[in-house]
Amino acid sequence: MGQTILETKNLTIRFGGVVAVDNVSISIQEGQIFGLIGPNGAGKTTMFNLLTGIYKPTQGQIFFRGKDITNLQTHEITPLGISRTFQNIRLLKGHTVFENILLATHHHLNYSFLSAFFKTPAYRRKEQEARQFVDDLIEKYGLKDYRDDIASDLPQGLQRKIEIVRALATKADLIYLDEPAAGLNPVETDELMDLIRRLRSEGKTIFLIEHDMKLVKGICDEIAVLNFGQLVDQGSYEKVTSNPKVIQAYLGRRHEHAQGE
Amino acid sequence: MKKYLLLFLLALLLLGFPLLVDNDYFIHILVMCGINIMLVLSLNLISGFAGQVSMGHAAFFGIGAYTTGLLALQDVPMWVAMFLSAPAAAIFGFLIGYPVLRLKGHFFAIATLGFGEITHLILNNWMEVTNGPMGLSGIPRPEAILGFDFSSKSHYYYMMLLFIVLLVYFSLRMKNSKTGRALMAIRTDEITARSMGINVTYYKNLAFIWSAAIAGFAGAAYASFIQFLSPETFTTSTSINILTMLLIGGIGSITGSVLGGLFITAMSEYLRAFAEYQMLVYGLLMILVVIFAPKGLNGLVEKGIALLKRR
Repeated sequence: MGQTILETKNLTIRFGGVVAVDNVSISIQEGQIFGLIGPNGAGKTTMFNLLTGIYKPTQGQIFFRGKDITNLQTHEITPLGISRTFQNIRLLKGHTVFENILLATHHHLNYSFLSAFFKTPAYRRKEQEARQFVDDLIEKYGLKDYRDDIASDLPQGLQRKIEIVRALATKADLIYLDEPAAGLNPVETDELMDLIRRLRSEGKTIFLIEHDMKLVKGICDEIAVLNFGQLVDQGSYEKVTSNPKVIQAYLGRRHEHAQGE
Repeated sequence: MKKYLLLFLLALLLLGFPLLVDNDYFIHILVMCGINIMLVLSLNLISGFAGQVSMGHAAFFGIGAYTTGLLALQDVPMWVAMFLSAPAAAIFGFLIGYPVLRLKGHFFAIATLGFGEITHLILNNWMEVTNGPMGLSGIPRPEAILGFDFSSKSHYYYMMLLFIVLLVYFSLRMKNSKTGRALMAIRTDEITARSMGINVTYYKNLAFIWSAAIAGFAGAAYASFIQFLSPETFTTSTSINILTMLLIGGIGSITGSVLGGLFITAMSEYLRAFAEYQMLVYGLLMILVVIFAPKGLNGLVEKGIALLKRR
Protein backbone atom coordinates (compact mmCIF):
# COMPACT_ATOMS: atom_id res chain seq x y z
CA MET A 1 0.00 0.00 0.00
CA GLY A 2 1.27 3.43 -0.93
CA GLN A 3 1.28 6.84 0.65
CA THR A 4 -1.55 8.75 2.21
CA ILE A 5 -3.58 10.38 -0.57
CA LEU A 6 -6.39 11.96 1.46
CA GLU A 7 -6.45 12.96 5.08
CA THR A 8 -8.96 14.85 7.22
CA LYS A 9 -8.12 16.31 10.59
CA ASN A 10 -10.90 16.98 13.13
CA LEU A 11 -13.33 17.78 10.31
CA THR A 12 -16.50 19.39 11.70
CA ILE A 13 -19.50 21.16 10.21
CA ARG A 14 -22.45 22.64 12.06
CA PHE A 15 -25.77 23.62 10.51
CA GLY A 16 -27.29 25.83 13.19
CA GLY A 17 -27.48 23.55 16.24
CA VAL A 18 -26.93 20.31 14.34
CA VAL A 19 -23.43 18.93 14.13
CA ALA A 20 -23.64 16.99 10.86
CA VAL A 21 -20.00 15.93 10.81
CA ASP A 22 -18.29 15.91 14.19
CA ASN A 23 -14.52 15.86 14.60
CA VAL A 24 -13.83 13.23 11.94
CA SER A 25 -10.21 12.30 11.23
CA ILE A 26 -9.61 9.66 8.59
CA SER A 27 -6.79 8.88 6.21
CA ILE A 28 -6.93 7.01 2.92
CA GLN A 29 -3.94 5.31 1.30
CA GLU A 30 -3.15 5.47 -2.38
CA GLY A 31 -4.61 2.51 -4.28
CA GLN A 32 -7.20 1.67 -1.63
CA ILE A 33 -10.91 1.09 -1.92
CA PHE A 34 -12.13 2.88 1.16
CA GLY A 35 -15.76 2.53 2.28
CA LEU A 36 -17.76 4.94 4.41
CA ILE A 37 -20.88 3.40 5.96
CA GLY A 38 -23.43 4.43 8.54
CA PRO A 39 -27.20 4.67 9.07
CA ASN A 40 -29.31 7.22 7.18
CA GLY A 41 -28.57 10.75 8.30
CA ALA A 42 -25.18 9.84 9.72
CA GLY A 43 -23.49 12.60 7.70
CA LYS A 44 -21.95 10.54 4.90
CA THR A 45 -23.05 12.69 1.97
CA THR A 46 -22.28 15.83 4.01
CA MET A 47 -18.78 14.43 4.37
CA PHE A 48 -18.49 14.15 0.57
CA ASN A 49 -19.81 17.66 0.13
CA LEU A 50 -17.10 18.89 2.51
CA LEU A 51 -14.41 16.98 0.67
CA THR A 52 -15.47 18.40 -2.69
CA GLY A 53 -15.72 21.97 -1.44
CA ILE A 54 -19.49 22.30 -1.81
CA TYR A 55 -19.66 22.98 1.97
CA LYS A 56 -16.95 24.70 3.96
CA PRO A 57 -16.11 23.05 7.31
CA THR A 58 -16.74 24.90 10.57
CA GLN A 59 -13.51 23.38 11.88
CA GLY A 60 -10.76 21.07 10.79
CA GLN A 61 -8.68 20.54 7.69
CA ILE A 62 -8.54 18.42 4.54
CA PHE A 63 -5.26 17.38 2.92
CA PHE A 64 -4.82 15.91 -0.55
CA ARG A 65 -1.31 14.48 -1.01
CA GLY A 66 -0.16 16.68 1.86
CA LYS A 67 -1.61 19.87 0.35
CA ASP A 68 -4.20 21.73 2.38
CA ILE A 69 -7.34 21.91 0.23
CA THR A 70 -9.78 22.93 2.99
CA ASN A 71 -10.56 26.34 1.57
CA LEU A 72 -10.48 25.58 -2.14
CA GLN A 73 -13.63 25.84 -4.23
CA THR A 74 -15.10 22.84 -6.03
CA HIS A 75 -13.76 23.82 -9.44
CA GLU A 76 -10.27 24.30 -7.97
CA ILE A 77 -10.27 20.84 -6.36
CA THR A 78 -11.10 18.88 -9.53
CA PRO A 79 -7.93 19.85 -11.47
CA LEU A 80 -5.79 18.54 -8.58
CA GLY A 81 -6.99 15.02 -9.39
CA ILE A 82 -10.21 14.45 -7.46
CA SER A 83 -13.55 13.67 -9.05
CA ARG A 84 -16.91 12.32 -7.94
CA THR A 85 -20.23 10.76 -8.85
CA PHE A 86 -23.56 11.59 -7.28
CA GLN A 87 -26.13 9.68 -5.26
CA ASN A 88 -28.86 10.76 -7.69
CA ILE A 89 -27.09 10.40 -10.99
CA ARG A 90 -26.38 13.84 -12.44
CA LEU A 91 -25.85 13.35 -16.14
CA LEU A 92 -26.75 16.34 -18.27
CA LYS A 93 -30.30 15.83 -19.51
CA GLY A 94 -30.79 15.74 -23.27
CA HIS A 95 -27.10 15.27 -24.04
CA THR A 96 -25.34 12.23 -25.47
CA VAL A 97 -22.94 9.94 -23.65
CA PHE A 98 -20.06 11.42 -25.64
CA GLU A 99 -21.03 15.02 -24.80
CA ASN A 100 -21.39 14.18 -21.13
CA ILE A 101 -17.93 12.68 -20.93
CA LEU A 102 -16.35 15.38 -23.14
CA LEU A 103 -17.44 17.95 -20.58
CA ALA A 104 -15.00 16.42 -18.08
CA THR A 105 -12.02 17.33 -20.28
CA HIS A 106 -12.69 21.00 -19.56
CA HIS A 107 -9.88 21.74 -17.14
CA HIS A 108 -7.11 19.99 -19.07
CA LEU A 109 -8.07 21.68 -22.33
CA ASN A 110 -5.98 24.81 -22.11
CA TYR A 111 -6.77 26.98 -25.12
CA SER A 112 -8.15 30.49 -25.05
CA PHE A 113 -11.46 31.50 -26.57
CA LEU A 114 -9.56 33.65 -29.07
CA SER A 115 -7.81 30.59 -30.49
CA ALA A 116 -11.19 28.87 -30.75
CA PHE A 117 -12.54 31.89 -32.64
CA PHE A 118 -9.73 31.80 -35.18
CA LYS A 119 -9.57 27.98 -35.21
CA THR A 120 -5.82 28.09 -34.76
CA PRO A 121 -3.86 24.86 -35.41
CA ALA A 122 -3.15 24.54 -31.67
CA TYR A 123 -6.87 24.78 -30.94
CA ARG A 124 -7.74 22.13 -33.55
CA ARG A 125 -5.07 19.78 -32.23
CA LYS A 126 -6.08 20.14 -28.58
CA GLU A 127 -9.77 19.76 -29.32
CA GLN A 128 -9.03 16.71 -31.48
CA GLU A 129 -6.91 15.18 -28.72
CA ALA A 130 -9.66 15.69 -26.15
CA ARG A 131 -12.24 14.05 -28.42
CA GLN A 132 -9.89 11.14 -29.09
CA PHE A 133 -9.22 10.79 -25.35
CA VAL A 134 -12.97 10.56 -24.68
CA ASP A 135 -13.49 8.06 -27.50
CA ASP A 136 -10.65 5.92 -26.11
CA LEU A 137 -12.28 5.92 -22.67
CA ILE A 138 -15.66 5.04 -24.21
CA GLU A 139 -14.05 2.14 -26.08
CA LYS A 140 -12.03 1.00 -23.06
CA TYR A 141 -15.01 0.79 -20.71
CA GLY A 142 -17.36 -0.79 -23.22
CA LEU A 143 -19.69 2.15 -23.88
CA LYS A 144 -19.11 2.27 -27.63
CA ASP A 145 -22.61 1.07 -28.55
CA TYR A 146 -24.13 3.93 -26.55
CA ARG A 147 -21.76 6.72 -27.62
CA ASP A 148 -24.42 8.82 -29.37
CA ASP A 149 -27.42 7.89 -27.23
CA ILE A 150 -28.99 10.39 -24.88
CA ALA A 151 -27.33 9.49 -21.59
CA SER A 152 -30.30 10.17 -19.31
CA ASP A 153 -32.52 7.75 -21.32
CA LEU A 154 -30.29 4.71 -20.68
CA PRO A 155 -30.83 2.13 -17.90
CA GLN A 156 -29.69 3.01 -14.39
CA GLY A 157 -26.71 0.65 -14.39
CA LEU A 158 -25.32 2.16 -17.57
CA GLN A 159 -25.93 5.70 -16.37
CA ARG A 160 -23.91 4.91 -13.25
CA LYS A 161 -21.11 3.57 -15.39
CA ILE A 162 -21.17 6.66 -17.63
CA GLU A 163 -20.97 8.86 -14.55
CA ILE A 164 -17.94 6.92 -13.35
CA VAL A 165 -16.26 7.16 -16.77
CA ARG A 166 -17.01 10.89 -16.76
CA ALA A 167 -15.23 11.13 -13.39
CA LEU A 168 -12.26 9.28 -14.94
CA ALA A 169 -12.20 11.69 -17.87
CA THR A 170 -11.14 14.50 -15.51
CA LYS A 171 -7.90 12.44 -15.16
CA ALA A 172 -8.58 12.11 -11.43
CA ASP A 173 -6.52 9.77 -9.24
CA LEU A 174 -8.98 9.84 -6.35
CA ILE A 175 -12.63 9.15 -7.09
CA TYR A 176 -15.54 9.60 -4.72
CA LEU A 177 -18.55 7.37 -5.39
CA ASP A 178 -21.72 8.36 -3.55
CA GLU A 179 -23.84 5.19 -3.16
CA PRO A 180 -22.84 3.69 -6.51
CA ALA A 181 -25.07 0.62 -6.07
CA ALA A 182 -28.24 2.60 -5.27
CA GLY A 183 -31.05 1.62 -7.64
CA LEU A 184 -29.05 -1.16 -9.32
CA ASN A 185 -30.22 -4.78 -9.66
CA PRO A 186 -27.96 -7.61 -8.41
CA VAL A 187 -26.44 -8.25 -11.86
CA GLU A 188 -25.65 -4.56 -12.32
CA THR A 189 -24.18 -4.45 -8.82
CA ASP A 190 -21.82 -7.32 -9.67
CA GLU A 191 -20.70 -5.52 -12.81
CA LEU A 192 -20.16 -2.37 -10.76
CA MET A 193 -17.99 -4.27 -8.29
CA ASP A 194 -15.87 -5.58 -11.15
CA LEU A 195 -15.54 -2.05 -12.53
CA ILE A 196 -14.44 -0.63 -9.17
CA ARG A 197 -11.87 -3.42 -8.72
CA ARG A 198 -10.63 -2.71 -12.23
CA LEU A 199 -10.17 0.97 -11.38
CA ARG A 200 -8.10 -0.01 -8.35
CA SER A 201 -5.92 -2.25 -10.50
CA GLU A 202 -5.42 0.72 -12.84
CA GLY A 203 -3.99 2.69 -9.92
CA LYS A 204 -7.01 4.75 -8.91
CA THR A 205 -7.98 5.32 -5.30
CA ILE A 206 -11.68 4.90 -4.56
CA PHE A 207 -13.59 6.43 -1.65
CA LEU A 208 -17.19 5.25 -1.60
CA ILE A 209 -20.33 5.61 0.47
CA GLU A 210 -22.55 2.56 0.36
CA HIS A 211 -25.52 0.88 2.01
CA ASP A 212 -25.21 -2.37 0.08
CA MET A 213 -23.21 -4.50 2.57
CA LYS A 214 -22.52 -7.17 -0.02
CA LEU A 215 -20.65 -4.60 -2.11
CA VAL A 216 -18.86 -3.15 0.92
CA LYS A 217 -17.81 -6.61 2.11
CA GLY A 218 -16.81 -7.66 -1.38
CA ILE A 219 -14.49 -4.84 -2.39
CA CYS A 220 -13.52 -2.47 0.42
CA ASP A 221 -9.99 -2.67 1.79
CA GLU A 222 -10.87 -0.47 4.72
CA ILE A 223 -14.11 0.82 6.19
CA ALA A 224 -15.04 3.77 8.36
CA VAL A 225 -18.36 3.87 10.23
CA LEU A 226 -20.14 7.14 10.84
CA ASN A 227 -23.06 7.66 13.25
CA PHE A 228 -24.59 11.02 14.16
CA GLY A 229 -21.62 12.66 12.46
CA GLN A 230 -19.06 10.88 14.62
CA LEU A 231 -16.52 8.29 13.59
CA VAL A 232 -17.50 5.08 15.41
CA ASP A 233 -14.87 2.69 14.08
CA GLN A 234 -12.37 2.22 11.28
CA GLY A 235 -10.69 -0.92 9.95
CA SER A 236 -11.38 -4.12 8.02
CA TYR A 237 -14.92 -5.36 7.33
CA GLU A 238 -14.60 -8.12 9.95
CA LYS A 239 -13.27 -5.71 12.56
CA VAL A 240 -15.95 -3.05 12.22
CA THR A 241 -18.90 -5.44 11.88
CA SER A 242 -17.96 -7.20 15.11
CA ASN A 243 -17.70 -3.93 17.02
CA PRO A 244 -20.71 -3.71 19.42
CA LYS A 245 -20.91 0.06 18.92
CA VAL A 246 -21.36 -0.40 15.16
CA ILE A 247 -24.05 -3.04 15.63
CA GLN A 248 -25.75 -0.71 18.08
CA ALA A 249 -25.64 2.18 15.58
CA TYR A 250 -27.44 0.06 12.99
CA LEU A 251 -29.83 -1.96 15.18
CA GLY A 252 -30.28 0.13 18.30
CA ARG A 253 -29.70 -0.94 21.91
CA ARG A 254 -31.01 -4.30 23.04
CA HIS A 255 -33.05 -3.65 26.19
CA GLU A 256 -34.33 -0.10 26.55
CA HIS A 257 -37.26 -0.35 24.10
CA ALA A 258 -38.35 -3.88 25.02
CA GLN A 259 -38.54 -3.00 28.70
CA GLY A 260 -40.18 0.37 28.14
CA GLU A 261 -43.06 -0.96 26.11
CA MET B 1 -21.62 19.85 -51.03
CA LYS B 2 -25.34 20.51 -51.05
CA LYS B 3 -24.93 22.49 -47.84
CA TYR B 4 -22.30 24.78 -49.38
CA LEU B 5 -24.43 25.33 -52.46
CA LEU B 6 -27.33 26.39 -50.26
CA LEU B 7 -25.07 28.73 -48.28
CA PHE B 8 -23.77 30.21 -51.53
CA LEU B 9 -27.28 30.83 -52.85
CA LEU B 10 -28.30 32.39 -49.53
CA ALA B 11 -25.25 34.69 -49.63
CA LEU B 12 -26.05 35.68 -53.22
CA LEU B 13 -29.65 36.44 -52.29
CA LEU B 14 -28.67 38.52 -49.25
CA LEU B 15 -26.01 40.46 -51.16
CA GLY B 16 -28.15 41.10 -54.20
CA PHE B 17 -31.27 42.02 -52.28
CA PRO B 18 -30.90 45.84 -52.25
CA LEU B 19 -30.21 45.78 -56.01
CA LEU B 20 -33.36 43.83 -56.73
CA VAL B 21 -35.64 45.70 -54.37
CA ASP B 22 -35.30 49.42 -54.85
CA ASN B 23 -37.60 50.35 -51.99
CA ASP B 24 -36.19 52.55 -49.24
CA TYR B 25 -38.90 51.70 -46.76
CA PHE B 26 -38.31 47.99 -47.18
CA ILE B 27 -34.55 48.35 -46.75
CA HIS B 28 -35.17 50.50 -43.66
CA ILE B 29 -37.17 47.68 -42.08
CA LEU B 30 -34.45 45.20 -42.94
CA VAL B 31 -31.82 47.36 -41.22
CA MET B 32 -34.06 47.56 -38.14
CA CYS B 33 -34.39 43.77 -38.33
CA GLY B 34 -30.59 43.60 -38.41
CA ILE B 35 -30.23 45.71 -35.27
CA ASN B 36 -32.78 43.56 -33.47
CA ILE B 37 -31.09 40.36 -34.65
CA MET B 38 -27.83 41.63 -33.14
CA LEU B 39 -29.65 42.27 -29.88
CA VAL B 40 -31.27 38.82 -29.88
CA LEU B 41 -27.95 37.12 -30.68
CA SER B 42 -26.33 39.03 -27.81
CA LEU B 43 -29.13 38.06 -25.40
CA ASN B 44 -28.80 34.46 -26.57
CA LEU B 45 -25.25 34.30 -25.16
CA ILE B 46 -26.34 34.91 -21.58
CA SER B 47 -29.95 33.68 -21.63
CA GLY B 48 -29.66 30.93 -24.24
CA PHE B 49 -26.15 29.54 -23.74
CA ALA B 50 -25.69 30.25 -20.03
CA GLY B 51 -29.39 30.00 -19.08
CA GLN B 52 -29.48 33.29 -17.10
CA VAL B 53 -32.53 35.31 -18.06
CA SER B 54 -31.69 39.00 -18.52
CA MET B 55 -34.69 41.33 -18.31
CA GLY B 56 -32.74 44.53 -18.84
CA HIS B 57 -31.00 44.13 -22.15
CA ALA B 58 -32.33 47.45 -23.44
CA ALA B 59 -30.09 49.11 -20.85
CA PHE B 60 -26.90 47.89 -22.58
CA PHE B 61 -28.42 48.77 -25.95
CA GLY B 62 -29.06 52.27 -24.56
CA ILE B 63 -25.64 52.66 -22.98
CA GLY B 64 -24.04 51.76 -26.30
CA ALA B 65 -26.29 54.11 -28.26
CA TYR B 66 -25.77 57.06 -25.90
CA THR B 67 -22.01 56.45 -25.76
CA THR B 68 -21.87 56.76 -29.53
CA GLY B 69 -24.24 59.73 -29.58
CA LEU B 70 -22.50 61.70 -26.84
CA LEU B 71 -19.00 61.05 -28.15
CA ALA B 72 -19.99 61.87 -31.73
CA LEU B 73 -21.51 65.16 -30.64
CA GLN B 74 -18.14 65.96 -29.00
CA ASP B 75 -16.61 65.58 -32.49
CA VAL B 76 -15.05 62.19 -31.80
CA PRO B 77 -14.77 60.35 -35.14
CA MET B 78 -17.89 58.24 -35.63
CA TRP B 79 -16.14 54.88 -36.03
CA VAL B 80 -14.12 55.46 -32.85
CA ALA B 81 -17.29 56.39 -30.97
CA MET B 82 -19.05 53.29 -32.24
CA PHE B 83 -16.25 50.92 -31.30
CA LEU B 84 -16.01 52.49 -27.82
CA SER B 85 -19.67 51.67 -27.22
CA ALA B 86 -18.96 47.97 -26.80
CA PRO B 87 -16.44 48.30 -23.95
CA ALA B 88 -18.64 50.96 -22.31
CA ALA B 89 -21.59 48.56 -22.18
CA ALA B 90 -19.27 45.69 -21.16
CA ILE B 91 -18.09 47.65 -18.11
CA PHE B 92 -21.67 48.00 -16.92
CA GLY B 93 -22.24 44.32 -17.63
CA PHE B 94 -19.31 43.50 -15.39
CA LEU B 95 -20.52 45.84 -12.62
CA ILE B 96 -23.94 44.17 -12.57
CA GLY B 97 -22.80 40.62 -13.28
CA TYR B 98 -19.94 40.42 -10.82
CA PRO B 99 -22.06 40.65 -7.66
CA VAL B 100 -25.32 39.21 -9.03
CA LEU B 101 -24.19 36.19 -11.06
CA ARG B 102 -22.95 34.53 -7.86
CA LEU B 103 -26.55 34.15 -6.76
CA LYS B 104 -28.76 31.29 -7.83
CA GLY B 105 -32.32 31.36 -9.17
CA HIS B 106 -34.17 34.44 -10.27
CA PHE B 107 -32.03 37.09 -8.63
CA PHE B 108 -30.23 37.79 -11.87
CA ALA B 109 -33.50 38.42 -13.72
CA ILE B 110 -34.67 40.77 -10.96
CA ALA B 111 -31.35 42.63 -10.79
CA THR B 112 -31.23 43.17 -14.56
CA LEU B 113 -34.87 44.31 -14.53
CA GLY B 114 -33.93 46.88 -11.89
CA PHE B 115 -30.85 47.93 -13.82
CA GLY B 116 -32.95 48.45 -16.95
CA GLU B 117 -35.36 50.72 -15.08
CA ILE B 118 -32.55 52.71 -13.47
CA THR B 119 -30.79 53.21 -16.80
CA HIS B 120 -33.98 54.47 -18.41
CA LEU B 121 -34.60 56.89 -15.51
CA ILE B 122 -31.06 58.24 -15.73
CA LEU B 123 -31.28 58.71 -19.52
CA ASN B 124 -34.59 60.46 -19.03
CA ASN B 125 -33.62 62.76 -16.15
CA TRP B 126 -29.95 63.64 -16.42
CA MET B 127 -30.67 66.76 -18.45
CA GLU B 128 -27.11 68.17 -18.48
CA VAL B 129 -25.67 65.10 -20.18
CA THR B 130 -28.40 63.19 -22.00
CA ASN B 131 -30.68 66.12 -22.78
CA GLY B 132 -33.47 64.19 -21.02
CA PRO B 133 -36.73 63.45 -22.80
CA MET B 134 -35.80 65.75 -25.69
CA GLY B 135 -33.14 63.24 -26.63
CA LEU B 136 -29.98 63.61 -28.68
CA SER B 137 -30.28 64.78 -32.25
CA GLY B 138 -27.85 65.48 -35.04
CA ILE B 139 -25.74 62.35 -34.67
CA PRO B 140 -23.59 62.18 -37.82
CA ARG B 141 -23.24 59.31 -40.25
CA PRO B 142 -20.08 57.18 -40.03
CA GLU B 143 -17.14 58.34 -42.14
CA ALA B 144 -16.95 56.85 -45.63
CA ILE B 145 -15.06 53.59 -45.80
CA LEU B 146 -14.25 51.26 -48.74
CA GLY B 147 -16.56 53.18 -51.03
CA PHE B 148 -19.45 53.14 -48.56
CA ASP B 149 -20.47 56.61 -47.44
CA PHE B 150 -23.69 55.55 -45.68
CA SER B 151 -25.75 58.18 -47.46
CA SER B 152 -28.16 55.50 -48.64
CA LYS B 153 -29.94 52.93 -46.52
CA SER B 154 -28.61 50.05 -48.56
CA HIS B 155 -25.09 50.86 -47.30
CA TYR B 156 -26.41 50.27 -43.80
CA TYR B 157 -27.95 47.06 -45.00
CA TYR B 158 -24.50 45.77 -46.00
CA MET B 159 -22.97 46.95 -42.73
CA MET B 160 -25.62 45.08 -40.73
CA LEU B 161 -25.15 42.01 -42.89
CA LEU B 162 -21.43 42.01 -42.14
CA PHE B 163 -21.97 42.45 -38.39
CA ILE B 164 -24.55 39.68 -38.25
CA VAL B 165 -22.37 37.24 -40.18
CA LEU B 166 -19.50 37.98 -37.79
CA LEU B 167 -21.78 37.60 -34.80
CA VAL B 168 -23.25 34.31 -36.01
CA TYR B 169 -19.73 33.01 -36.53
CA PHE B 170 -18.73 34.24 -33.08
CA SER B 171 -21.72 32.47 -31.50
CA LEU B 172 -20.98 29.26 -33.40
CA ARG B 173 -17.35 29.22 -32.30
CA MET B 174 -18.37 29.89 -28.72
CA LYS B 175 -20.97 27.13 -28.79
CA ASN B 176 -18.57 24.52 -30.19
CA SER B 177 -15.59 25.25 -27.95
CA LYS B 178 -14.96 24.35 -24.33
CA THR B 179 -16.51 27.70 -23.39
CA GLY B 180 -19.81 26.62 -24.95
CA ARG B 181 -19.69 23.23 -23.29
CA ALA B 182 -19.03 24.89 -19.93
CA LEU B 183 -21.99 27.23 -20.44
CA MET B 184 -24.19 24.31 -21.52
CA ALA B 185 -23.29 22.46 -18.30
CA ILE B 186 -23.97 25.56 -16.20
CA ARG B 187 -27.39 25.95 -17.83
CA THR B 188 -28.28 22.31 -17.18
CA ASP B 189 -26.80 21.67 -13.75
CA GLU B 190 -24.46 23.98 -11.85
CA ILE B 191 -23.34 21.43 -9.29
CA THR B 192 -22.21 19.01 -12.00
CA ALA B 193 -20.47 21.86 -13.81
CA ARG B 194 -18.52 22.74 -10.65
CA SER B 195 -17.61 19.12 -10.06
CA MET B 196 -16.19 18.91 -13.57
CA GLY B 197 -13.79 21.72 -12.72
CA ILE B 198 -15.74 24.52 -14.35
CA ASN B 199 -15.48 27.94 -12.72
CA VAL B 200 -19.21 28.74 -12.86
CA THR B 201 -19.00 32.38 -11.77
CA TYR B 202 -16.24 33.11 -14.28
CA TYR B 203 -18.07 31.63 -17.26
CA LYS B 204 -21.38 33.29 -16.40
CA ASN B 205 -19.59 36.63 -16.20
CA LEU B 206 -17.74 35.97 -19.44
CA ALA B 207 -21.01 35.26 -21.26
CA PHE B 208 -22.68 38.31 -19.73
CA ILE B 209 -19.85 40.72 -20.51
CA TRP B 210 -19.76 39.61 -24.16
CA SER B 211 -23.52 39.83 -24.25
CA ALA B 212 -23.50 43.39 -22.89
CA ALA B 213 -20.69 44.44 -25.24
CA ILE B 214 -22.53 43.19 -28.31
CA ALA B 215 -25.80 44.80 -27.21
CA GLY B 216 -23.81 48.02 -26.75
CA PHE B 217 -22.47 47.74 -30.27
CA ALA B 218 -25.99 47.19 -31.59
CA GLY B 219 -26.80 50.47 -29.82
CA ALA B 220 -23.96 52.17 -31.69
CA ALA B 221 -25.29 50.88 -35.00
CA TYR B 222 -28.77 52.13 -34.06
CA ALA B 223 -27.50 55.60 -33.08
CA SER B 224 -25.64 56.06 -36.35
CA PHE B 225 -28.55 54.77 -38.45
CA ILE B 226 -31.46 56.67 -36.85
CA GLN B 227 -29.27 59.70 -35.95
CA PHE B 228 -31.60 60.56 -33.08
CA LEU B 229 -31.86 59.01 -29.61
CA SER B 230 -34.75 59.20 -27.18
CA PRO B 231 -34.83 57.54 -23.75
CA GLU B 232 -38.17 56.00 -24.72
CA THR B 233 -36.39 53.56 -27.03
CA PHE B 234 -34.55 51.99 -24.09
CA THR B 235 -37.32 50.94 -21.72
CA THR B 236 -38.19 47.64 -20.08
CA SER B 237 -40.72 46.97 -22.80
CA THR B 238 -37.83 46.94 -25.30
CA SER B 239 -36.03 44.43 -23.07
CA ILE B 240 -39.14 42.27 -23.02
CA ASN B 241 -39.41 42.58 -26.81
CA ILE B 242 -35.88 41.25 -27.25
CA LEU B 243 -36.63 38.39 -24.88
CA THR B 244 -39.84 37.64 -26.79
CA MET B 245 -37.90 37.48 -30.05
CA LEU B 246 -35.47 35.03 -28.48
CA LEU B 247 -38.23 32.84 -27.05
CA ILE B 248 -40.23 32.79 -30.27
CA GLY B 249 -37.11 32.16 -32.35
CA GLY B 250 -35.93 29.37 -30.07
CA ILE B 251 -33.88 30.01 -26.93
CA GLY B 252 -30.28 28.78 -27.17
CA SER B 253 -30.41 28.48 -30.95
CA ILE B 254 -28.37 30.73 -33.23
CA THR B 255 -30.63 30.23 -36.26
CA GLY B 256 -33.60 30.76 -33.96
CA SER B 257 -32.21 34.08 -32.74
CA VAL B 258 -31.92 35.32 -36.33
CA LEU B 259 -35.39 34.05 -37.27
CA GLY B 260 -36.97 35.50 -34.12
CA GLY B 261 -35.44 38.93 -34.67
CA LEU B 262 -36.45 38.96 -38.32
CA PHE B 263 -39.97 37.67 -37.81
CA ILE B 264 -41.03 39.83 -34.86
CA THR B 265 -39.49 43.05 -36.18
CA ALA B 266 -41.10 42.63 -39.59
CA MET B 267 -44.41 41.60 -38.05
CA SER B 268 -44.62 44.55 -35.66
CA GLU B 269 -43.76 46.85 -38.56
CA TYR B 270 -46.60 45.54 -40.71
CA LEU B 271 -49.00 45.48 -37.79
CA ARG B 272 -48.22 49.13 -37.05
CA ALA B 273 -51.85 50.03 -37.76
CA PHE B 274 -52.88 47.84 -34.85
CA ALA B 275 -50.13 49.11 -32.53
CA GLU B 276 -52.34 49.02 -29.46
CA TYR B 277 -52.96 45.32 -29.98
CA GLN B 278 -49.27 44.52 -30.39
CA MET B 279 -48.85 43.20 -26.85
CA LEU B 280 -51.97 41.10 -27.29
CA VAL B 281 -50.51 39.52 -30.41
CA TYR B 282 -47.18 38.88 -28.66
CA GLY B 283 -49.00 37.23 -25.78
CA LEU B 284 -50.97 35.01 -28.11
CA LEU B 285 -47.83 34.10 -30.05
CA MET B 286 -46.03 33.20 -26.83
CA ILE B 287 -48.83 30.88 -25.78
CA LEU B 288 -48.87 29.23 -29.21
CA VAL B 289 -45.10 28.78 -29.15
CA VAL B 290 -45.12 27.28 -25.66
CA ILE B 291 -47.85 24.80 -26.57
CA PHE B 292 -47.02 23.86 -30.16
CA ALA B 293 -43.35 24.73 -30.68
CA PRO B 294 -41.42 24.74 -27.41
CA LYS B 295 -38.19 25.04 -29.38
CA GLY B 296 -39.47 28.10 -31.21
CA LEU B 297 -39.29 28.88 -34.92
CA ASN B 298 -35.98 27.06 -35.12
CA GLY B 299 -37.63 23.90 -33.82
CA LEU B 300 -40.33 24.21 -36.49
CA VAL B 301 -37.74 24.70 -39.23
CA GLU B 302 -35.80 21.65 -38.05
CA LYS B 303 -38.96 19.57 -37.99
CA GLY B 304 -39.77 20.76 -41.51
CA ILE B 305 -36.30 19.83 -42.79
CA ALA B 306 -36.54 16.41 -41.15
CA LEU B 307 -39.92 15.85 -42.86
CA LEU B 308 -38.49 16.85 -46.26
CA LYS B 309 -35.50 14.55 -45.83
CA ARG B 310 -37.71 11.58 -45.03
CA ARG B 311 -39.50 11.83 -48.35
